[in-house]
Amino acid sequence: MTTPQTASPSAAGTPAAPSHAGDLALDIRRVSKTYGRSVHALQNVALSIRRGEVFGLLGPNGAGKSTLVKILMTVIRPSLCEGSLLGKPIGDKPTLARIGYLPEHHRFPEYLTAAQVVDFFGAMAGVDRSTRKARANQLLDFVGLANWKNSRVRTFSKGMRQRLGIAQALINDPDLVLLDEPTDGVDPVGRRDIREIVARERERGRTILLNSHLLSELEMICDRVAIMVQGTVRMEGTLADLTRDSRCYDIELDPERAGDASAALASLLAPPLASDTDALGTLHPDIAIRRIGGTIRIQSDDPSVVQPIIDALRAAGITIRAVRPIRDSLEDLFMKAVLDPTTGKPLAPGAQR
Amino acid sequence: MIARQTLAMMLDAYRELNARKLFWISLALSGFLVAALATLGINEQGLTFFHWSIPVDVVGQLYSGGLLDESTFYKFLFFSIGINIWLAWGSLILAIISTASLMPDFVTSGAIELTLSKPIGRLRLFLTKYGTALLFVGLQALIFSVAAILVIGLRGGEWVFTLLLTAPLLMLVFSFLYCISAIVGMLTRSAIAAILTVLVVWACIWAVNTTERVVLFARVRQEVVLDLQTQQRKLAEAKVAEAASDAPNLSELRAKVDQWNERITNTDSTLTTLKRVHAVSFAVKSLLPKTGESMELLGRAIITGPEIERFRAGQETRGNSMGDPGTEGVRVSPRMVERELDKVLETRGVLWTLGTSIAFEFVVLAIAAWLFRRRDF
Repeated sequence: MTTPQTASPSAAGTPAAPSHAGDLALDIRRVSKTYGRSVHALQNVALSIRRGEVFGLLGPNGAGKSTLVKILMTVIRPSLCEGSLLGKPIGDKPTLARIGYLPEHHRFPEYLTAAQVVDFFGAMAGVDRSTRKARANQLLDFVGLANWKNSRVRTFSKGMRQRLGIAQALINDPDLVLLDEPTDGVDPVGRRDIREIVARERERGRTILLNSHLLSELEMICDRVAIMVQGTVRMEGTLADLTRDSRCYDIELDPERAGDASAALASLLAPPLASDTDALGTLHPDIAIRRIGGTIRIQSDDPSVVQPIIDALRAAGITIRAVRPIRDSLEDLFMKAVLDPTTGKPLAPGAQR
Repeated sequence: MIARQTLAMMLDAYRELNARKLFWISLALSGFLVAALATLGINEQGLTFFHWSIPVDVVGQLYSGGLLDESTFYKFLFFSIGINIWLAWGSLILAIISTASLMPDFVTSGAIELTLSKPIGRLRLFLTKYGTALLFVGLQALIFSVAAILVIGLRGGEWVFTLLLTAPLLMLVFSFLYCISAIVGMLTRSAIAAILTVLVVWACIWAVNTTERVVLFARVRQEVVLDLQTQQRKLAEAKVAEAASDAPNLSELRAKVDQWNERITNTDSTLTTLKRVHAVSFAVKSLLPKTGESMELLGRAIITGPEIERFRAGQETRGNSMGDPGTEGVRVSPRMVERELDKVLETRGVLWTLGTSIAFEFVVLAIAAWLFRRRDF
């Protein structure tokens, strides 16, 4: 099993680090699920989600994301589970009244109208009738189904069903919302709308756990992410923290003068490290400078480091077309996580056997 | 919160039933049957249909002889056709088909997660869902029984409120079968598998019950025969004792005693075999739900003992009551056997009939609930 790469949660733009367990909406350790004797769907999963943040859980198909969410929602019984959900032990039924849940591939009774679906699941969550009635109208309006509230579910498109699913997940005014593949099968407009709904819910202070394999979706709205592969958490942290090592600057040069860059920078750079013979040289002992075609890459996320390079290039009369900060995308991180460190090939999908 | 959730599930079950065409088809058929039975009547000529008379001598004689009045006629009619045939078979089959998909739909992937993730225990969730499915039959039977009470009251002049027992009793009988549908539907998520299993189990129950009843009838009849033969032997022995030792017909009288002894031995042997077979069939039957006998309890509540006696007496006066003596040497009246059979059946009280059936349902439900609680969805 790979040790999870855990990043510090202190990056800018993210909620402050928890000072005690009360700040955590979810705090789980050693969550395992084994089917039969040999299928390990989850192995010693540990996660913590702070109150008020949008947390993205991603991974390839069969990574165990839905299994983990189902364990939290008491749909699946864990083989082993330690931790708490909203301060209560996992599996505590009354706590579920404070949680909203949209399962993957959910199916609502076809004979019900949108308003009846929201009302029914509200009642099942213990919401009183008058509150249900008022909130159902608000929520259906909120998700863009106000004109369809009296239409039967059987007439709904996939996107409308997802919107309805989100409305029913919010009927009990939950502290924590678990959305399992909320944009699955939804068109780009619908996906944008769902992202906006999530963003608005975050503004209202709700904690949201988003389970998806649509990386671009998560990248846009998540404060922190965890990447699961074969039932284990491979990476966890803010996007900024997880991509820190990959951050750099690219200086794009006029291709006709790019060959002069080595000479222009010679006075600035120390010889490259013996282990890094591809580099033009090093600016400081640990900052490698490379030329990749017509681009100079500076392996640092510090903008002050880039300035003398730009000055030297300009002094040599080399035209600079663009200066870009570069970092790994979530997709790059994801691909790194799913690669087998020993073979360099993607790991087999599904649980470990 | 418990009441709110239960009410929501009841309302959902009603909406689901409402959306099923079979529910309305079944209700329409019930209405049609009640209307059809209401058009029938009796008079001195026989049956009446609206204002027309249909000559049926047997019915006319029973009516003229005061052995069958309008009220009893309607009670027999509604019990034998409306309840025993339509509700106990037709309506029940429609209910089994119509409700078979409730449990598979409930546990289907994508739907069960939504309900399991709510603050309701699995056991209560399962039992509430199970209970709401019984609404199908309960509503049907309630509407039918109210309509039947009105027809019997208006046409027969007697308000038989015991007919209201039809709804709970039919729900109970349906639940004996539905528990099988629920467990199979939950395990296989297939309505077809649930329907087929229920029909097979129901056929087995019917076969066991019928076998037991036939064997019981044969046993009781043999007991009556044995009793009559014993009486005849006593008479023959008395004649031998009365006859003088040199009476010319003494050997003939002794031969008769021997003949009765031989008959009694044969009957006794047959009776012993029948008792063994009956004991086995009764033991098997005791473990299974008693759908037929449970419905008969309703008959006992609706039609009184004196009414049944009058009706049977009327049948006997028509001269087809005694059987052929045959090799048994005695004539056995069907009424005699029926009386003895009734005595045996009366020893099987409500408690035994419903108690053993409910025990069966309890065991099946307990297994189903245990599986539901432990299952990963």
